[in-house]
Amino acid sequence: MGRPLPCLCPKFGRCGVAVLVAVAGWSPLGARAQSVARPVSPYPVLDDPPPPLRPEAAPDAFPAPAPEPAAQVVTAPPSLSRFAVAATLAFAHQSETNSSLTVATPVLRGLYKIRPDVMAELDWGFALLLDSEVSASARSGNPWLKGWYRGERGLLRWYAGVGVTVPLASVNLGPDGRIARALYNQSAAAWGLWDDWRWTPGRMALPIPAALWYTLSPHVIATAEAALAPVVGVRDGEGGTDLLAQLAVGARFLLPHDLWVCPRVQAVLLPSASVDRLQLAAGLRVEWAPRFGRFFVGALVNLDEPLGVFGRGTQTWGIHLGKELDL
Amino acid sequence: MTRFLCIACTALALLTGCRDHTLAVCDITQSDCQQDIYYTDLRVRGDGYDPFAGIPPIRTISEDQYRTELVDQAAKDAQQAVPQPWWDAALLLLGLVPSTGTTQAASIDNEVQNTAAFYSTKERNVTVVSHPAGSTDPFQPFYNMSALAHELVHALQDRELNLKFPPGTTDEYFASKALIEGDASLYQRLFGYNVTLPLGYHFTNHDPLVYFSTWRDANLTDQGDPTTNFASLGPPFFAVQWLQYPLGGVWLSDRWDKGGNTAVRHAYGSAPQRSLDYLLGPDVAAPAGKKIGCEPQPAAPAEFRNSGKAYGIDSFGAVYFFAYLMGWKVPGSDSLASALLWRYDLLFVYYNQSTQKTALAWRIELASPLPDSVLAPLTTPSGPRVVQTGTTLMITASDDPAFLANWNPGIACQPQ
Repeated sequence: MGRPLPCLCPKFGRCGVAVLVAVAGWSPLGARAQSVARPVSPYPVLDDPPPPLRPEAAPDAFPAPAPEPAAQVVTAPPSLSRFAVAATLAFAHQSETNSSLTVATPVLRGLYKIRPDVMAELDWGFALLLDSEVSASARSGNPWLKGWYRGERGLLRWYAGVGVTVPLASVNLGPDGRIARALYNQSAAAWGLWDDWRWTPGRMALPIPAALWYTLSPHVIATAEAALAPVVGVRDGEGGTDLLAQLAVGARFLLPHDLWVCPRVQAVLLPSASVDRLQLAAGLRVEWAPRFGRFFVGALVNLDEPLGVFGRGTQTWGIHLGKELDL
Repeated sequence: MTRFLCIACTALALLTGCRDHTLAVCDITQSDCQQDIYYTDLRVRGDGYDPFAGIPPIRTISEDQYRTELVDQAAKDAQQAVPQPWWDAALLLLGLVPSTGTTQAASIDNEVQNTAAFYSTKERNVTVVSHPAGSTDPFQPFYNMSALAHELVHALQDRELNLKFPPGTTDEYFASKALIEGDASLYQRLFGYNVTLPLGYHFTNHDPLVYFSTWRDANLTDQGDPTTNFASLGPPFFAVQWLQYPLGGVWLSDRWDKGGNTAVRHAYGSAPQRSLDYLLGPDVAAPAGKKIGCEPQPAAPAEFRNSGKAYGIDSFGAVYFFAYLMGWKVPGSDSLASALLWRYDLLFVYYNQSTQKTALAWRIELASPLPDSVLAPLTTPSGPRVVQTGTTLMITASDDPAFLANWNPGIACQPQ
C-alpha cells in the first residue's frame, strides 16, 4: 500500500482510477424522466421489490396518491410475497505460463419476511474451480444466516442486520490442500474480499451489516454499505480471533428502459495477519429491473495490493452477473 | 451514456495494462522488500491471496549464532529423547558418516555450511543464515531474496500440506521432503526470473527444468566441479539431504513445464513415495517394488535384541544406497546406475547393551545383480561384509569383530 505506481498510468494512481470511474458515473445521465424505481443497492444487500412502473399496475392495497417522485422512492410499499430468492455468480480467470485458472462462485440467497420491517435471510456460496480446463473442483462456502431490520426516514432508507456463518468451508492439510486453498482465495478475490467470511475456511463469523441509501433526485440514489465481523478460528490450524470490516459507497443512475448503472468503490479492512490491511476495489454494474425481477451484469476490479491491478498484487478482477434479491 | 462507457472502458484497459512486475534487488530485513517478495511468490504460484496468512517473522543470524542454536537444540533434544547410539554406530559402520567426531557434530557442521535460510514450522518464522563471504559478494542480496522466497513458499505450504510428517521409513521421508523442497525450489527459481539482477549478472536460461537437471547432474557425480559434486555436499549421509532440492526440483519443474501451476497443484497427490522414482526422473515409468517380509537368518542372538526385536528397522531407499556406494568410492556413474537397480531394502540394527556393540544387516533387493566392478570397491577388509546372492545384496557389519566372525546371515525369505 502506498507504493509508487509503476508503468503505464502513474498519473491516475490507484485512487485516481476509482475517482475516474466515479466521476464518469456522476456525469449528466438519463436526462429524460422515467418512472422512479425503488432504491436498490448495486451489490447483494437487501432491497425492496421493484415498485410498479405504471400507476395502473399498482395493487389496490396501496391507493395512496403518488407523492413527489423522490418521496415515492423511499416509501415504496413492501412486496406482498413473504419469500424471495436470488442468485449471483462471480467469475475470475487468470492465464499463466502453461496453464490457466477459472473460478466461478455462485451465491444463492433466500429471504423470508417475518414482518414488513423484519426479515431473515440465508445466503450460501459455492466455489467452483476449473484448473486449465483439465480438472474441476468444487467446495462449499460458509452458509450465512442473517436477520434484517429495515427503517426509513424522509429520503433516507436504511437496513441493519446481524448474522452468523456456519463454518463449512475447510481445507484439509494434504495433497489437495493447495487446490482447496486456491479455490477459496480466488473466490474471495473475485468479490474483492467483500463478505470474505463466506469463503474463509475453518472460521466462523458474526457479521453485523448495515446499508443505507439516500435519494438525491428522481434519477440518482447514493448508497453506502458497511459491515463489521468478528471472525473466530474453529478448526485446527485456524486459531485466534480477528476482525474484518468493510465499507462501500456508490451511486445508482436511472437510464431509459428500466436500466440502472451503478458505480461503486469498496474498501475491506483485512485481518491483522494480512500483509496489507486494506483492499480497495472499484465496480461498475448495469442492472435491468423489469417488473419480474432485477438482473445485472458488471465487473469489479481490485485496485491495490494484495489483489489489485496496481503494484505487485495478483491482478485479479471479476465479472458478476445474476438476479438480485427482491424483498 | 456513451461518454460514460468510453471513460469506464478506457480506465479498465489502463488498469489491466499496468503490469510491471520486475523486482529490484533489495534488503530482506526491510518490510517493503519482504512484502514484495511475498507478493511475487503469490503471483508465480497463482493461488491467490489468503488474508489470514501473513509474512512470518524474519531474522538474520550469523553462522556462529546458527551453530550455537543447533548445539543448544541438540542438547535439549538429547535430554528429552531416548538415546539411540546404535544408529550412530550403524551409520559409521556403513561409512555414511565420518569416523572423526560424532554424527551430531558432523550434522551440525554440514547444516551450518549449507543452509541459506530455513522456515520453522514450530515457531512459524524464517531465519536467514548470513555466511562470511556474503558481505562482499554483490550477488548476496539476491541470494538472500531468493532464499526468503523459498522459505515463504514453505510458509504457504504450511497452510496446505502436512509438514509434520507421520512416522515412516527414511526412504519415504526423503520422498516427502523432495516434494516439499522441490516445490519451494521451483518457485524460488521462478521468483528469481522476476528480479533484476545486479549489473553483469544474468540467468543462463529461463527453463527451470534445465536448471534443476544441471544441478542434479552436478550433485550426483564424483567428477566435475569440486564445489558442486557429491563430495562437496558433506559426508554421504548428510549429502543425501541436499539432493532433495535438485531431485524434487527436476520432478516438479517437469510438471510445471508440461502443465504450469495446475500440474504442480495436482502433483502432490501423485508424487513418488520412493527416492528411486526421483533418481529415475519424471519421464521414466516407476518400476514395481519388492517387499521383504522377514529378518535375515540366522537372527542376531538375544543379547543384541530389545525384547526379542531388532533395535532399529528401516528402509533407506535407492538414494542412500547411492550414497553408500559413493562413500566406498564406487565411481559416480556406476553408483547411480547401481542405485537405479534398487527395488527394496531393509536395514536391521542390533545392539548389545552390556558391551555397547552394534551389528547390522542391510538387505537390498535389486532388479539385476551388480557387476564385479561395483562389488570390488565394496569388499574391503576394513569395510562391511558384502555378499551378493542373485539379485539380493546382503551387507553386514559390526564393531564387535568376534561377533561378526560367527554371524553370517543370509536370505531367509524371497521378496514379494
